[in-house]
Amino acid sequence: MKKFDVIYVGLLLVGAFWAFVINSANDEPIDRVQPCDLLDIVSQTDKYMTTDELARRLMSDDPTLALIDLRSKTEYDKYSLTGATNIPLENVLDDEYVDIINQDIQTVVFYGNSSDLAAKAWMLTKRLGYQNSYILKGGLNRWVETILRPREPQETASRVEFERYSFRKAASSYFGGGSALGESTTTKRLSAPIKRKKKSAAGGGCD
Amino acid sequence: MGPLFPLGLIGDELNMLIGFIIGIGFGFLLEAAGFTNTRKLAGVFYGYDFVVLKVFFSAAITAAIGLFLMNHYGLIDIKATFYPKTFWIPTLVGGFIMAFGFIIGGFCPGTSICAAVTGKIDAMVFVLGAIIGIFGYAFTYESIWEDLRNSGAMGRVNIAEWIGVSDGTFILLLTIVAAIAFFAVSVIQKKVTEKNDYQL
Repeated sequence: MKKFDVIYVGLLLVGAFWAFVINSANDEPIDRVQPCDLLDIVSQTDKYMTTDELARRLMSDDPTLALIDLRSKTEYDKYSLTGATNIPLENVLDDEYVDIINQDIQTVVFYGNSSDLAAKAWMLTKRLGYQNSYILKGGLNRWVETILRPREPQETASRVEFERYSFRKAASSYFGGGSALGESTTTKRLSAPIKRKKKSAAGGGCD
Repeated sequence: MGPLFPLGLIGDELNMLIGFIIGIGFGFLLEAAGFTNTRKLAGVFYGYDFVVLKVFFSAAITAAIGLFLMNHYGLIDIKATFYPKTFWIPTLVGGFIMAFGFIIGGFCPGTSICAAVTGKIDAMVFVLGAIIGIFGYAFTYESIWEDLRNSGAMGRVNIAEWIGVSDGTFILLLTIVAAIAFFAVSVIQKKVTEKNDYQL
């Protein structure tokens, strides 16, 4: 073998060893969101869904809504939102739920008692690059405050506020608000949407 | 020109232009490396010249290492590259035909064109044969070859996945095998050329 051959083969071996080391040292999939991108995602403002918006969608029986209740099973059994699926935060990454949480057909809305649990779950799913997930702003506490027991605005309040109040009052009676709190509403089981195969990008060769 | 072309980053014209420039470079290097000489290619089978084997092997490994590292460091998205589905039976048959073509003709498709352009008559005959073969296959594509073409389908696989090791491990193994092979063929080459007086 010539000197050049030896050098080249040596370089190849170094490169291959390098590939081997980073492959075995780092099992993270490469397509995971990088920290710098994550910063952009975290600072975006449209990660919240307001309770009004949620109420509107629930009342119109929006089929594109996937509500995820992140609290424990006992809390979920006590009270939950219509059609919500119970996935306690510690089980969010379980394989059986991945089809529900990682999808781009339905809008995934996380909620807990406050925004806290939801924000954690949202952060996790964003880190994994999942699309279409939202945090219910204020969680169930805000839900009770605004939708189930709306407070009448002061007489000097603007028209918009009165309109919102009348919407909330209607929603309140729809969801059996006020005294009816504590009664679990009917739960329809959430099923993962049927995945349609995306059209693959045009191939390069003959296929 | 993957992955630029399939992703729509460059248009048809630029794609053709880039292909044209790469083609010129490829042809130039084939000629410069002496690959238009039939004895160079046939040498692999007789054991007096292993340049072709070294070139193909090292090119494959260089590309594998380069793609792997660039993908890892985010310079290229490996998912945007393309490789075809595997049908192992027709691939094996095609491999044998290619091998016999190598020994008998002394060219591979690319080098035959280069050699024909440099004025080698045997290469022109080779290219003519290749064209007849292409048309023959194209016109009987559906009538004769349907069964053979679809036999042994394995889907879109790569070897590392198929034998169940990680990509990095496979690249390392392949490189070690290549290094050993390079050393072995250089020993063989030395012995064969000492015993016989081959003229390139």
